[in-house]
Order: sequence, then C-alpha cells, then structure tokens
Amino acid sequence: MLNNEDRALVEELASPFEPLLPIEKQLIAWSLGLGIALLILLAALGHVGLGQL
Amino acid sequence: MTAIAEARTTVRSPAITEDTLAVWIGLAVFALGLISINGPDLLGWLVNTSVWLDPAKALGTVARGYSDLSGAAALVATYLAFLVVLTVSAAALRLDLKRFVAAFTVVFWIAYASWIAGSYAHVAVVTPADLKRYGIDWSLKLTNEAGYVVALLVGLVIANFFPRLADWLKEAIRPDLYIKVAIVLLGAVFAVTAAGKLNLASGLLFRGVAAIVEAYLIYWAVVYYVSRRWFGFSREWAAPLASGISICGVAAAIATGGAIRARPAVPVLVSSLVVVFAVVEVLILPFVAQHFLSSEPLVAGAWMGLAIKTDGAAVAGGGITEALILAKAAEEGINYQPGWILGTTATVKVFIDIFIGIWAFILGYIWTNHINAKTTPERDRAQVGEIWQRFPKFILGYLATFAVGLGIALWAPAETTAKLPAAIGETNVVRVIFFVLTFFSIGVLSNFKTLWRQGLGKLAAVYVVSLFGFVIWVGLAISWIFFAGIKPPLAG
Repeated sequence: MLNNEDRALVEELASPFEPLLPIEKQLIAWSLGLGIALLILLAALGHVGLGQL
Repeated sequence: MTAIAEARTTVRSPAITEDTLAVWIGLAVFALGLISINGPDLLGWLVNTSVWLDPAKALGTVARGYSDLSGAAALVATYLAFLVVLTVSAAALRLDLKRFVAAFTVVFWIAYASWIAGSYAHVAVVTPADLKRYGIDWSLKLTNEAGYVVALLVGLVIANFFPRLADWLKEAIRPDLYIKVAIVLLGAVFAVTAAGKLNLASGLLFRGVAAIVEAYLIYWAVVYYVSRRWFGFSREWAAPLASGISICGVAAAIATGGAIRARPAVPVLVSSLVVVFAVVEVLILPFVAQHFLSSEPLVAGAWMGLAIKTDGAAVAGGGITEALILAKAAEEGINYQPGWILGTTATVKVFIDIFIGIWAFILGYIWTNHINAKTTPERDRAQVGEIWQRFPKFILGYLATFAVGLGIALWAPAETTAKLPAAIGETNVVRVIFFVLTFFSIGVLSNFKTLWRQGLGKLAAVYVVSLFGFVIWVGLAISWIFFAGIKPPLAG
C-alpha cells in the first residue's frame, strides 16, 4: 500500500492541466525536427556506404 | 515493502555506486581471463552447464585442465567465488551483510537451478542432428538460454505469490549491478566477435547513432507531448516519465528527475512502472521477433535495444532473441555466428546510455533557467559538472574491454591471438551467470498486483499508450531502415 506521501503524489496526477509553455513547445518541435532530419541524413549516409570501414 | 519503497532504496547514496562497482568487478574478471593467455588459467574451474538428459552430466568445468574437479564441486566453488566478490561489494554499498549473504545464497541457487533447468534436452535441443544425438524425438527448441526465461518466471512467481520471500531477498536483488558487470564483460565478447568482421562491426556502430537520435529526439518529444497534452500531467511528472519510457528506463527517469529538480519520489514512482513493463516486453518481444524477424536477425537485435526499457531487460531480451533466432535458423540449416544479435542490442543500448548525462543537463538547464527560473535559486541551477556526475560509468568498462579485446585480436602476435577466444570464453561464463542473476532479480522486483493496487493507473495508461502505440513500432521501423539486409556472418 502507499504511504501518505506517495498517495499525495499519485493524487497530483489528477490535478488540472498546466498549459504548454512556449519553451516546452520549442523543445518538442526542435527535438522532433532535428531528430527526423538526422535520421534522414544517417539513413542516406548508411545507404551510400559511409558506415563501413 | 511496496514496489515504490523498494525502488526508493535504489536511489540512496552509498560510499561507492553500483555503477562504479560494476566497472571494477567486470575489469577484474576480464583481467583474470587475459592472464590465462600467457599464464595460469585462473577461471577454468568455473562451472559450465551443458545440455543434458542425465542430470549427473549437466555440470562440468569451463576448462579441460580442471576436469578433475566434479561439476558439483565446480558449482560450489563458483558460488563461493561469487559470494566473496559480491559480499565485498555489498560491504562497499553499506548493505546489511548478514542479510545479503543469506539472501544472495538463495538468489544464486534458485537462479542457477533455473539455468540448469533451461538446459534440459527437451527444452534446449534445436537441430535434428542434436535430437538424434540425445535420443529424443521432441524438444521446445529454445536453446539452453531458455534458462534465462525460467529464471525470470521463477522470479515473477516469487514476487507475485510469495511477497514475503521477495521482501526477504531484496538485499541481494541487484539487477543494475548484475547487468552492468555483464555488459562490461560483454564488451570483450563483442570485440572477439567483431574482430573477424570489422566492416560489419563498424557498420553496426554507425547505425547505433540512429538509436541515439531516435531515443532522445523522437521518442522523448512524443512521449512528453502525449503525457502533457493527452493525459494532463504536470511538467514535473511528464519529464521523468518521458525519459523513462524513451531512453533507458530507471536510470534515465532518475537522472531526469534530479536534473529538473523534481521531488525524489516522482522518478521513483515512474521507475516502478518501468520495471514491470520491461518484464512484459522481455516475455513477449523476443518471441515476436523470432516469429517475424528471423530472416533479419540484426533488425531483431536492434529492436530489442530500442523497444525494451532498462539496460538489464533490454540486453536480456537481446540474449533471448539471439538464442531463439539462431535456433530457428539452425533448424533451417543456417548457422549464424553467435554474438552478433546480442552485440547489436548491447551496442544500441550502450550508445543510448552514453548521452543520459548530456540530455539530463539540457533538460535541467531549460527547467532551472526558463521553466522554473523564478523559483530556482542561482546556486541550484544546472551545472555542466552534472553531465559527468550522471554519466553511466559502466559504459567506460564496456568500451575498455571492447578496445583491449579488439586490440589484442587485431595486433597481438598470432600465438596470443589464437588463445584469446578461449580466454574471453571463460569470462563469458561469468557474464552468463550475471545475466541469470539479472533475469531472476528483475522477476523478483515485478509485483504486478501491488502496482495496480497502488493506483498508478494513469501513469500506466501513458506507458501503455506510448510503449505499445508508438515506441515499439517506431523502434521496429527505425531498426528496419538501418539494419535490414545486414546478416551476421555464418559460423565457421
């Protein structure tokens, strides 16, 4: 069973939604954008055989 | 003790961390193995288990030079060696030594009994030739690595049906320590495997970079968004949860929690979920991989590294996947060289782990300088030194054994090189035992019933949606894009 502290933490999960801040939106957008771009670049480099000695 | 309280014990700060201890233990075993190349065989007396029908023939020693030692004596000697080394480690970790010795004794014997059970011929034999050799007409064809699954299942039974025993064992339930020692030793095993096919090995390392990009930049952003927007989690909860699901489970959740200055219990609660879901994945994904990906072994290996969270479960999943796929291929007359699938999983996982510290620092910087700038005192803002502080040191051990092993394999005199596989083979026996201990420990930590009772349904819902709706499939797609068409070399 949960102790009081853990129970309070779990109850927090039902707390009202905190809107996404601009910095969070930037973090998500930059992560995804950079991630997809790097994956395409890596796939292309792998395709031309750059991953081989 | 609840799963949460159990997980909380993992974040205490002893004199030395399990991470650092794992490096020293792994390097010490590796050094002992290397001595046998030009000196006495210091590990040859360790116990080795063969596939068996007659239990009396199950056990033996690793090296023929010690064949005077009976299998049972080798097993007892191996147990004593593990007990001594790990009790010294337990002392360094400031554990209760009496409880540790008693608990480890039970853990070792149950785990090794599971390993022996997995080597039973009706469980392990794979090829028609071996069926004939053992005089049997059926087998589950799981290879002797079925022992890992047996250990995991026994651990799960104890956790879910004998919780008092699970609680009593907890002093010796150290999956992080066990798997990190195993990964350090795996570096040398992979080096010997890679030395023969450097082109392939370098290709794998290159493709491992894709795993870093995926885990940190794609997975994390999506899981963070899902948990914030769809499930309404606060930032304090969403960030450790995203790291736990996306990167490498417990370690990432705790590193992120510390970096964003979350209350310590938040990443600990997240970690309790990570462990349970990792077990579910280990029990399912390797068999899915065997069924659908046996023609693409390295895709399967990379997938385990990307989809299964926590280092222990992922590398363990890679081990089972390798056993299952090699078994299926052997049935079809294809004998792949062992080590490549597991090596791919470990490489992917190690590459991901390398950047935990940097990622935690980036999040810490954003949180303490932008999101919580008003409430964070200057002295508590993210410092560059945290990158090293949160860097998983066992990776250095893995890289060291890999580099030394590869160096010897490539540049040592032929006489030395010829003896290297046998020497590393002896350290691999130690690695296997640490693997078995990891599987059993993960099982014992996974009390499903307790978790549901604790009311973590909303956290679990995010986990289910993210893991089964996104992480597993994107991991499969990326593994396919980068590893499809690359086959392990054939044995011999």
